[in-house]
Amino acid sequence: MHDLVLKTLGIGDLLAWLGVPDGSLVYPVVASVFPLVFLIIFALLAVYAERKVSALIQNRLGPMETGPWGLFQTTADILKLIQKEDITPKAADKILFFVAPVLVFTGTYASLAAFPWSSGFVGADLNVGIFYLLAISSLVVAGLLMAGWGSNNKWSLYGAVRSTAQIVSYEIPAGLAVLTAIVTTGTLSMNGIIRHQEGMWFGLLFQSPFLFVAFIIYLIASLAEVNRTPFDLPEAESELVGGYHTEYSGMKFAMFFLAEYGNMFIVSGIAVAVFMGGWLTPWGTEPSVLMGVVWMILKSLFFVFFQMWLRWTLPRFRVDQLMYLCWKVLIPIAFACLIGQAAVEVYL
Amino acid sequence: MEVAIFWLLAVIIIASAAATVFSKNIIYSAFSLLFSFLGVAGIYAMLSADFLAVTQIMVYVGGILTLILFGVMLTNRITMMSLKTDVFNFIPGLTIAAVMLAGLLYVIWVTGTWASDSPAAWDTTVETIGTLTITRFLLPFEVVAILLLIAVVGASFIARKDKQKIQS
Amino acid sequence: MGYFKDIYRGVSSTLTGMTLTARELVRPDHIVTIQYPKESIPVPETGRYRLHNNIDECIGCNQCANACPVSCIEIKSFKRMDKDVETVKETQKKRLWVEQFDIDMSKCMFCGLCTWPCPTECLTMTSVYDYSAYDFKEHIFKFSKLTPAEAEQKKAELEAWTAEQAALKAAAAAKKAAEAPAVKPETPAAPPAEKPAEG
Repeated sequence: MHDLVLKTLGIGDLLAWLGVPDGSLVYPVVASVFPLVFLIIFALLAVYAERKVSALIQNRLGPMETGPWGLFQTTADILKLIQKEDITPKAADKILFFVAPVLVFTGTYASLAAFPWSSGFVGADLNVGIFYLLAISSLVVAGLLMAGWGSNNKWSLYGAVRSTAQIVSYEIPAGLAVLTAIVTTGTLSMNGIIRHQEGMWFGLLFQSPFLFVAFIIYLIASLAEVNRTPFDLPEAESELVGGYHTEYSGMKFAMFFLAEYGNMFIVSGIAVAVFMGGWLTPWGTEPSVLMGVVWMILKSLFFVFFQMWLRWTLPRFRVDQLMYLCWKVLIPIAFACLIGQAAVEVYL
Repeated sequence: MEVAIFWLLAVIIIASAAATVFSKNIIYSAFSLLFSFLGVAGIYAMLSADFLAVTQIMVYVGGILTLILFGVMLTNRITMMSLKTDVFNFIPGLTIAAVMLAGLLYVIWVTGTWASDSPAAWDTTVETIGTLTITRFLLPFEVVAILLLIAVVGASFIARKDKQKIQS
Repeated sequence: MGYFKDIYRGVSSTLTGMTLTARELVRPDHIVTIQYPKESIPVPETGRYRLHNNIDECIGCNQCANACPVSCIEIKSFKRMDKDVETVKETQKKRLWVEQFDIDMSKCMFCGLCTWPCPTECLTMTSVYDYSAYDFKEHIFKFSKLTPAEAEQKKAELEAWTAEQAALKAAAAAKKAAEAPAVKPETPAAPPAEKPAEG
């Protein structure tokens, strides 16, 4: 049994490399705590980065007062959120209102279980890793619906319904784009997919035009899945106040926020793992375990930055444009890519 | 530890399934279904049916549950109504349940061999499923695909506005 | 072919937009933010902001208070003794003690009309604009240098001096009267008789 746990938590190599004795309890604890700690630190820095990027793009300075260049601004914000009164609206459905942020965060945290940090450092290197990552995000959908309904507020409900419609629709092009890559790699395991890209510059991205287009489609669809601009209809500040988290305050709001930024990182991570060689170096060699983590995070952070960049460039879509883009543009092209790549695999 | 997880999952499944059936609030019913589905996925995972487990989450949680919730939320009359969970049609219901149970037990009895060890852990099931789908079970697979296609066409036909109305 | 044209336009306009934002992102010289308390835009030399009164040159003539359309200047003054009269700017005489010169900046409308009539040009509008406060009362700026005690003392001195002067005058008058008693004997008696009737 213990062996099973250790094997599942393929993190073993990393800790062995660090000199931790075999079979110690440290392994599972590290495997489960590391993503959480990383997520919190990442969210702190990402919120700061988001504000800085938006500020610089708009020729402003962004936060400057708290700490050098305002570095501790988000920390201060979090401290404020912790101190805030936890308000539950009188008309809200108490149970759903409480469970929703937990469920949304669970979805995010659960995704990290199969996240390929490095060659020897994967929470669980499942045979169906990528499929699991795509599927587990449906917990987020259920959580958002719960939040929207539980708040008993029209803005929240609109936000939740929009968000769900959007995520469910854009799961299809995202899935098809990933499938295009899987046709090439021939495995669903995250580390298997990454290992297949050894020796390729920038992974699968430049291996065939179909894969490149599939990558672009995944990028667009993943933006929609994490409700980022230009697909931020669910939390459109100008029309829905705050969307599904309108009624939330204090720590529950912080949990939504954490989940949102965590999801940004996860979809970037999937894009990197599937199309950009994951923890491999950009020139396609296998780095040491620790450097693998560094490469993985660096590459993912680039796409997180890309999401921010796009957010402060494009305005928001209208609902019908959103659906037009998904069903009439992305899905047909994704299918074409899938068939094209399959043909390439068979005949070349 | 595996036993503990199994019992935990079992409790989750049965409790949430009971909540689904007995809750007077249809929204609670729908949401407890979520935990039921997740628990079942957990059981599948413990049986080394990883592909099935993930498919369970993808299809039932991501697709069907969301559809149910949408249906419930967009129909404002349903949500206001408190459901009657009294027993109707006691005898026919019981009969059907008994027959189903008997049938299942019979099939289990006939099929016979229960695997007493846990199956070889973490062997990939994906390839086997893929191969079988397009070889031995190709016909059922295609039939299901056509059925779904028909459902989609039918749904869009129903949802579509009348052409004459649009013109006028 | 509208379909592919739309896709092309979508992609190309997105790329154009992203190049633009990327260019702005890496241009620190374009930043327009001024971190206010640390840096600020210089105000024009002739700008009208907070009023300032150079009390050393103020002669307490009250012309500024009269000119003010919103009555935000309040002046109280009393006479100086002759020996205290000072000359300001060579031509103007300081004949008054200014015991109160208050400007209520929360009422002020920054028209600058008060600065024009000032004979000694001691009332000016400065370039100080950042003087927000938590209480309206903190916007009343007091310029008088006399403390209430000093003012009381000066007033007492003035009274004594006035009395002294009056006495001296009376004495002088009496002396005059004594020197020429028969010029107009009935004039001093007449006014006292009329005054009660008027009042």
